[in-house]
Formats: sequence, structure tokens, C-alpha cells
Amino acid sequence: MVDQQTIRECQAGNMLMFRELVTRSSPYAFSLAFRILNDEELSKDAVQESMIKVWKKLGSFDSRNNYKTWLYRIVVHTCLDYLRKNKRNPEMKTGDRGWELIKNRMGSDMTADMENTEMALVIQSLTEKLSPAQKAVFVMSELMGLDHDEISCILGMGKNGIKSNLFHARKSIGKMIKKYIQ
Amino acid sequence: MNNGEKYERLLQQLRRSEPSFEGESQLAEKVIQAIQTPGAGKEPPPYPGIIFGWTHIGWMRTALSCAACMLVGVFLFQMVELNRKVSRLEMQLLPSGYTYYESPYQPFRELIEYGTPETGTWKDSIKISRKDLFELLNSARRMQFYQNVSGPGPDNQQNMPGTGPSDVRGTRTIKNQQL
Repeated sequence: MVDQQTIRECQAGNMLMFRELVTRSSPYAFSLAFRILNDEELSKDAVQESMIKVWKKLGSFDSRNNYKTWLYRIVVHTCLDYLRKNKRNPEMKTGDRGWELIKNRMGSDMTADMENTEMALVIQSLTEKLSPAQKAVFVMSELMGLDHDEISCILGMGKNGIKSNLFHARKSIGKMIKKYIQ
Repeated sequence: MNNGEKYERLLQQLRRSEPSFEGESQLAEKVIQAIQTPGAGKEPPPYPGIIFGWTHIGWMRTALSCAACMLVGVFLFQMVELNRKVSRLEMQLLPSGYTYYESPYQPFRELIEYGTPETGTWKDSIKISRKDLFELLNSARRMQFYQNVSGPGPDNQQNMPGTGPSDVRGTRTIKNQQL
């Protein structure tokens, strides 16, 4: 984790410490970005862009606040911008490949961990019908286990909005599961 | 297994699998480079993004840009058209190239008194083509109409081009004479 001292050093303009901060915080920034974007290269770009934003906004960050939540907020909004830009990109559509994979997984032993490409395909298939906001709420709540207060703080959305988005996301994914997996 | 159980099993597997990320130091290097060289790694925003960057909806940005371009186009067209109309009207009001005649019959008088422009001398007879004659008559009629509309006030006459002594094109101005 990133401590307050590191953040204060970075705020003072210490580039070495900022490099350290990027190295330490980029894995969990990537974890969130990858689950939202489902593309390794795009997620790396999003993390890089987010880190540049972190450097620019670090001066206004209160080091007593939770750095991870603050970073997540920047990453999520960057990813939402990417999702909106790539909404009509045909490469983002997985077709039935993802559901084939899910069916195979359900039929076999589910203890084996997924690789990045498999995970991307599965999440992309499950969330294909969701809006960017619904997808972000679903990923943070269901896949990363963040509570509603944190998600509300990250997305700048009320708790009712979070609940509503999550409800619609679950409903949509439930329908997809019913349709594709007998 | 019902749908709820399938959903839960799938989520459990996704929660357990953490995306693997390699190249933290490379990413840190890129970030530091981007910070130290301002503008590096940044793509210039597309044209609509510059003007209508405040709207997040892509099609709305494009539509607003198209509408703005159309409005500018219409405005330019109107300007050009208006200018053309004004110059056409000017040509009608001053048909003989800024030469001002005090009476509609003055061109005829000048023709008789001074002869042709080539010689500038009096001749017993002159030749004028039918086309030139019609043009002359038309000009005289338009001049008459203009005078009826605006009235030949003294200020108006002084300000008209061709009435001053230094005017080159309309040198042969004759005042207070009637044909």
C-alpha cells in the first residue's frame, strides 16, 4: 500500500517517490481497469493516463483521505471515457465465443484460475448489454467486493443510483445466463 | 443448478481470478517520461472535440459541429450574395462608369458639342451604332429614374463622383446648361 509519507513526498515534487508510487499502485489500478475494459493494452493505456492525472491532481489531494479510493475514482472515470469512445467498436463484441467458454467452464471443474484473455472474454460476454455506469457498478460491487459507500464515493453517484444500476446489471446478466446456459 | 447458483459460481470464479499485470516499472517509466515532456503521448483532440468538448455524447458533438459549419456556410453565402446585389445596384445607378450627368439629355448634347471621344473635335456628322445608341438611351432613362427617386439636391450633386474638376473619367461636366 501507499503511505502518507510517500504521498507527501510526491506532492513536494519528488519524482523518484512518484515513480515508486506508480510502481506500487499500478497493479490494482490495472486490476480495476482490466475488469471494466476487458482489454490488456487498452487497460494499460488507461492506467498510464490515470497516473498522469494523479500527478497533475496530487497537489489537491488530502493525504489523510484514502489514496486507493481516490485512485480508483480517477481510473474508473478514465475507463468510462474509454468505454464511451469504443462503444461502437466491433472488436468489443465477443459474439458467442464468450458463452461457449462459460459453458465449458460451468461443465468442468471451476477451481482453476482464469487467464487474462479468458477473463476478458467472460466479463465482456456477461456485461455486453450493460451501460458503462452499470458495468462499472457491477465490476466494483460484484467482482471486487467494494461496498456501496466506496462505490458511491468513487463514481460520485448516490446510493440509490448504485442500487438501481446493480439491480439492472444483475437482472440483465441473469437473463443472459438463462438464455445461453441451459 | 438454477440460474442464481450459476450466477454465483461464475462470480466466485471471476472474484478468485486476479488479472495478472506485468511491466509496472515500464509503465512507471512511460508515465515519468510523459510528465517530463509535456504534450508527449497526448493525441490532439479531434476537431469537433476542440469546439464541443463539453458534451460527452459523440453524435451530439458531430451534429453540433455540422450545424455550426452549415451556419457559417450560409452566412458566407449571404454575404457574397448581398455584396453582388449591392454592386449590381451600384452599376445600375451609375451606368456610365461614375460619370454624372445633370440632365438625361446631356449625353446627347456632349456627343454633338464635342464629337467622338477618339477625336475630341467637332464633326459635321458622327457615326453611332444601334447598340451604343440603345445603351445611351437606356442610361439616360435610368438616370432620369434615379433623379426622380433621389432628387438632384446641391449636396447630392457635389458628392457625386465625376462632378469635381479633378475627376479624370468624367472630365466633361457642364453645369447650368440645358440642351
